[in-house]
Amino acid sequence: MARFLVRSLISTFVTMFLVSVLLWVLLEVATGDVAVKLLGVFSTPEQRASYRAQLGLDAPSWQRYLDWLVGSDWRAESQVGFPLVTATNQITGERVWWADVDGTPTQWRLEEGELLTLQLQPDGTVATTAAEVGWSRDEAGAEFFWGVNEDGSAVKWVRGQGAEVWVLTKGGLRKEGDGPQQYIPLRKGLLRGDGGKSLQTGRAVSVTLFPRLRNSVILAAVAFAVVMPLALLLGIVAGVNEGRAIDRTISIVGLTLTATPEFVTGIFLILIFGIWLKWVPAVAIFTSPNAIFENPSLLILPVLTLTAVELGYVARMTRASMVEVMDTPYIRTAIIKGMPRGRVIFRHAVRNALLAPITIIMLHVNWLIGGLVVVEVIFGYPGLGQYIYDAAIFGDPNAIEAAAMILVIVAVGTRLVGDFAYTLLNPRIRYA
Amino acid sequence: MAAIQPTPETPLGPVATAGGPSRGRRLWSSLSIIFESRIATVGFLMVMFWIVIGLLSLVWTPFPPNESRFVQNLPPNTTNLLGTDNLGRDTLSRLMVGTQVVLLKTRVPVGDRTISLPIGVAIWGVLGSLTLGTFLGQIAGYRGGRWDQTIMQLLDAFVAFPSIVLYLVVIAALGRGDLVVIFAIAITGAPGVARLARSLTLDISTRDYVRAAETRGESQWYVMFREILPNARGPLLVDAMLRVGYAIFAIGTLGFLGLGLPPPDPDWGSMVNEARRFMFSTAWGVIWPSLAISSLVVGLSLLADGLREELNRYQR
Repeated sequence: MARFLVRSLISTFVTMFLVSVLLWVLLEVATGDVAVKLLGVFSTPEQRASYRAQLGLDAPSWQRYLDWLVGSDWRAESQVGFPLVTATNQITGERVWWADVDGTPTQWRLEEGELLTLQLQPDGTVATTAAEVGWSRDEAGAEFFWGVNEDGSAVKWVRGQGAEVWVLTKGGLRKEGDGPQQYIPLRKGLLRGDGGKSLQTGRAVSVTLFPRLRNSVILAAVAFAVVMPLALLLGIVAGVNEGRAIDRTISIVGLTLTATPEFVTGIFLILIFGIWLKWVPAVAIFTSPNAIFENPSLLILPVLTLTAVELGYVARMTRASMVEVMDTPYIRTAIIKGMPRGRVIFRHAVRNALLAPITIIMLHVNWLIGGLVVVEVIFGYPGLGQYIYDAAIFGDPNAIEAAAMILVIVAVGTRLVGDFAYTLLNPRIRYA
Repeated sequence: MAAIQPTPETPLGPVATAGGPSRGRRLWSSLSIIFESRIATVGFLMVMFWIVIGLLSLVWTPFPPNESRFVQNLPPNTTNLLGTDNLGRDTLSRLMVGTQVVLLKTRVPVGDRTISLPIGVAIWGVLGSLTLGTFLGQIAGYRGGRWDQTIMQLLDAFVAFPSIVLYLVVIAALGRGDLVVIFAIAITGAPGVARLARSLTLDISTRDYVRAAETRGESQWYVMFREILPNARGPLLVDAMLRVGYAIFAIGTLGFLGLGLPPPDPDWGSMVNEARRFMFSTAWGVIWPSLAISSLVVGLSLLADGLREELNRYQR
């Protein structure tokens, strides 16, 4: 068992690595200029170039992938010369990068050609003083200084050559002198639990991602709790009555529900229950982060939609497996020896018939996630699916990659759970 | 050498051999298995219905499908049997033409003109995944060892990933277009096909005729594609039929998400997406294309389901 676990863990990491590289290549090849999307089509090429440099997008692709994976503070640290640390901003709750100069978190700013030091005080305020740190001199004789700027990027200033940079503010693009020549946006990398910043929102991916994940998990869990008992029951009923009218009905209805796309089911449910009958909310608009707990009726239609799509599939699997088991000699023996039918079915058949569906159900979680994307878009439900949809439409690499990694973990994790459930139910299987 | 032919075992019609029954007879014997099963027959009729509608729409529709000539968002009436959409276009005509892009034609940009190839996006996509998946699955299954491990690990990485997200990324990245959708369908479908092809290959490669071919020194490629592949055809084809259903399902979903086939030619998913905004005032616009997608996919599933049942009985 331990070997099986280790092997699955390794395989999970290999899978995650492959998926991340694949996505990276895809996004790299095809996404258009992100700067155009952020700054608008009327921005000038200089503005775009300056903004791309600030985001670190001018670095080669492999470099950015490595930064994403293991972080960029390693290579920035050797330039800055001080250890780089993060401190939590007490107002926004986000982590900000500082250089640790003799125990004081420090950033720098270039103003009117003079370098200023910003020191983070223990009470959270920032003290600004003229910098004492000297400039270094390169081979060409230009004086330069590597420091951390107020955005938390490692930057290289050159004395007397303040570059003109375009800074995106709330009021639009602003041109500033005294800009750095080179930027390395600092990040810890995914392996150290930092998904980076979303280009779309400018906030750390994890700030948005985890609340979204929570909403999706609630939706999926409720749907799962509704679907599974119902589908297994229907499957067993159909399987026991193979060939009779009730079996035909369950099978055909199940097939129809499975073959109907989620958006069609969703739209019909909205039409019937939301618009014509007005029983439940037709959309899932969250007026507060905890809206699902305050108003659980928001969940009804999304859950019903997911149920409709999943129900048929699981019921059909259970039916097929039940039919197969009911055909075996030991069931025939049990019936012939006069055992009550109910006991034959529930004591002998069901236990064996559930083996196959349980593995398939676990593999099917992938489908559930696919369904989630559509269902969340239809109902405007703020979950992971909607997050991925928005990120993919925008071409936001950090957001897509982070969400994708979560999905891979979910997919592989559920497969493992399925395998375990299978061993528990079927003692003949042992994982070496 | 050519004298030794693989024994045909698939019920979908024997491999072409000289002196066998004529082509027409064999086609009929393949088709007749459909009518053995009631479910398959119903499915076949539903699919044929849409194929006929699509063929008809190539030559005739009640009104030009892309022309705004009526009042907007009309309910069904005597002129517009299914009503009109938000731009005052005839829904019936658009619904009919919507069949073409999934089943009958693919639009390929050549220079600044667009030419139409026969056979629809869904079918090309499935053919793509069938080709790719069979190729990979056969190599994995027949060569085994390191090839098997590498290919299956790669495919597992794909399978671990929800296909709708892959569609989203591929299309968001490469832009909308028939070829992109075909590519996305082919890529996402390939791992499933490969798994099936691999298991079939593992099974078939133990047969005597494969051993015979190996003994007489045929190349690996010959054994894979001339000996094993023809005998794995039946299950692969039934699986492909289901996949066409899923592909239509996926195209509809993509259209609904606003990432479908490029306008102005109608496709059902985009029609639902456009009509959705007016759902609170008039529901007809979403009902018709939704019904169309469901009925076509249900038809294909019924057909595949019935066929599989028949095949299983035949083999038993």
